[in-house]
Amino acid sequence: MNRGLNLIKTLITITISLVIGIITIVLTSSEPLTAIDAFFRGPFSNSYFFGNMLASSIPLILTGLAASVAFSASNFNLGLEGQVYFSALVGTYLAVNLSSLPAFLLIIIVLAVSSLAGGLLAALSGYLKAKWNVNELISSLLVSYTIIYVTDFFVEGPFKDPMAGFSASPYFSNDLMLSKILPPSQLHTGIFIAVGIVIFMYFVCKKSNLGFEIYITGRNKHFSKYAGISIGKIMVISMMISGILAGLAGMIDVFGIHGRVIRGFSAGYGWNGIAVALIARSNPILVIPAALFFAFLESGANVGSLLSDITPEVARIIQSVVFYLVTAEGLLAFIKSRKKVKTDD
Amino acid sequence: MEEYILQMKNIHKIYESNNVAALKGANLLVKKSRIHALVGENGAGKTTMMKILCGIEPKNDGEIVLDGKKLSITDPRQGFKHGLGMVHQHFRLIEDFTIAENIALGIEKTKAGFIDQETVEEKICRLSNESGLIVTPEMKVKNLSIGEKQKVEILRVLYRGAKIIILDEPTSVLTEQETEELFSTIRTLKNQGKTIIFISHKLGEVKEISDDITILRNGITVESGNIRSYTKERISYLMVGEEINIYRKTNFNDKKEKPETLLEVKSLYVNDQENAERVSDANITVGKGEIVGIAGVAGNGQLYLTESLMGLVKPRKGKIILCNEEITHLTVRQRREAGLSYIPEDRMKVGVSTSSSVLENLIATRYYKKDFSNKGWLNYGNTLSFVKSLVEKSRIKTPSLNIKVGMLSGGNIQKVIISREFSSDPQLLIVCEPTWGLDVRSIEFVYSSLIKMKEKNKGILLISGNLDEILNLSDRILVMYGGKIVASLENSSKLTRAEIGEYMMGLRSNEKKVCKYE
Repeated sequence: MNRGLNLIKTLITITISLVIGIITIVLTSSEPLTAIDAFFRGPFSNSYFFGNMLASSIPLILTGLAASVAFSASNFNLGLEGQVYFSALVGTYLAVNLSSLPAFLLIIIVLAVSSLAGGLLAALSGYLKAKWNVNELISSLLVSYTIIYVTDFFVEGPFKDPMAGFSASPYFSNDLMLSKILPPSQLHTGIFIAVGIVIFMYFVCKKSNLGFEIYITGRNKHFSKYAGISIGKIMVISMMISGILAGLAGMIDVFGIHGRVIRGFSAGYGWNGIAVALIARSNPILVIPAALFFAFLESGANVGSLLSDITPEVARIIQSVVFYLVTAEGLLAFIKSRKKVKTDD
Repeated sequence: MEEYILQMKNIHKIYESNNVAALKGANLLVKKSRIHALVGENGAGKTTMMKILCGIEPKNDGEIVLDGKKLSITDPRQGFKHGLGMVHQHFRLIEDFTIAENIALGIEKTKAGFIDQETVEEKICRLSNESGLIVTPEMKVKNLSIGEKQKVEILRVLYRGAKIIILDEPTSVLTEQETEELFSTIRTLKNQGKTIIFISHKLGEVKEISDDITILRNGITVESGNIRSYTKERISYLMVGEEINIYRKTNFNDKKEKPETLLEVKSLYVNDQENAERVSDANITVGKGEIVGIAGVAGNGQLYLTESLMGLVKPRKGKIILCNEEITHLTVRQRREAGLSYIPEDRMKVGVSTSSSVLENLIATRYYKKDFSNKGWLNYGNTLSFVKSLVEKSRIKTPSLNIKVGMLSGGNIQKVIISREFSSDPQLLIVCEPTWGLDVRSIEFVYSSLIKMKEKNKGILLISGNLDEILNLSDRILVMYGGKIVASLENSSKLTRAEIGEYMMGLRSNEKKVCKYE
């Protein structure tokens, strides 16, 4: 019953935001019908657009999952964006400098080390919270901003490709790149990795001891501690997993599309991941449709701007409306549930 | 014949969320300037009745007549306008606000857009003097004791001009002294012409304070009338429909040699977060098959003592020994495995996770064990059958194992906790305020569970502010005052409440160290 209700609420949220998107297009476009048509049907009109849409959903699936895991433990990892960049930097550096290793082995090593880099970054905030009760929301955000500038420093200076006309590292070997599906679109086999990780994380969250500990701690940490769960450990581990997933989002994007780390390559993957997790209500499986929806908005606006006169920012407007509605609704549900507890007979 | 100030007739209420009929034609007739007791078991519908009266919940059917006029209100603000004020069981105060701010909240008098602090405080002081509820308006609520917070709640209701004041189980959180104070306030308010509706489980108090009584059972008014025509036994009988003897006496005559020691606490000191000493030099032993009661007014270090025994708070100094092994530095889980179980005082915040399911709550202390988990993955089949049998054995009334614990009644929530804590084959049980706010039937369940554990030769450390409970169950009684154990008494038929009370209030002490200072 509850689940059905949530689905209806989510559908209403999405409908309202799409209607607002349509209104924006009508107001700003001189040929609204063409623009709307391009926006909604564009991403499905040919395999190139469709492939690109799926490609842009890959990092969102992973950052959405990252945010979900942290939310489940009642931790707010607002440092996803920084973890995405940091992992991409570390991974690219390894991929460039260890090129003598066999490709398959190197990919594994790069993914492992780079995602761990993101994980440690997030785990730091978890540790600070467990140890000194430092608000993880703020610490992860601040660390993230700093680390983005650090990454920028490297790709502008010591780790800059002198041939590139903009801030980017050197390319690593083309052999390391994930194979493309549906060329010439950007879609790559990373999508299978992402879906595999989602399924794995679903089982971890729902069926493992760790998942149970994360869930119980997220619901009520006093109870969790009393029951014998080490809540400090859970804070660190849940943040770490979140950071690892964000790191994978960054590095898989680099392996699939860019072949190097570029300043600003993450089109807000971290931030949109938070919205994706909110729409999915932190359910690992629902992260996939939520990420696809965000990717669709992005692609629709891009196609629309190619084929008519709207700007890609239309996607931002719709995304932000979704974001507002989902957070407002989440807040309402939270207040209601608090009231319920208080007025219990 | 006296005029009824309030008439609630044939009230029906069905909660949509769980389709439970809370009221099935209940009546309540209240005379002006009287103290009217509304009694009934948990879930009998007392609170629902009052919420309907105040406009907090809508009714499905029935009629309310206030001062001769038909009343239909849909939100609490209208309730205030009609002179109805409710003091809830769980306080609704903003901790970071001052007393004055809390009282005036929502109906602030403003001067050019700013809160007129002086007028507000003046009015509070006047009300405070009239009612005998003395408070300091500029103090922050978070620094108040529970009794003081209740005063603020009552003042808030008076501030809004309430003529009918509803007190929902006001004494359940108070010490005996605070209860006395509350009763004198209630009498003062009555003399000023206010009408009071007093909801309670405690029949002694009901007899003492009220003029009239209405008894609810299962959403129906069973009887109503002048308190003088009812004995406590009669009220109890009407409430539950059958006599339940909760005053079971422990047999004092079977005193044999000293039982084998289970728990030994050696000069334990515990500090709070601000580094103030909350427990000083506590020495406690609990033997097999022994119930040791710790009496004391709430806030005298009991919570810090029990939490440090369980590993939730680190002691500063001292030793805790369980079954001849030191557990002072073990984690909560290690202590549980060593044979400790704990029923915490704060049921809703610590004892359960209200937003998690019955199943999750029951398995939370053992999900990782061999029977329920394999290499880090949960075995839901075993978990389910275990939880099912636990629910059946303890007769936990729940529509499903997946329902959130917060949806259950108070008695059933306590059953969830007790069945979980008692089923882990513990050696020593730390049991805090186990019957707080429960109805007679649930209290019966708690007591019989404790006695069963005692008969199985387990040790029980019972912490309670309820002296009857301590006297009825304990073999030995310790009294805590100001963080110290000031008395260690053998329970016998000669031991009186008054004697323990003197220790609790700090008037007496048989610990030599403390005596020296006198």
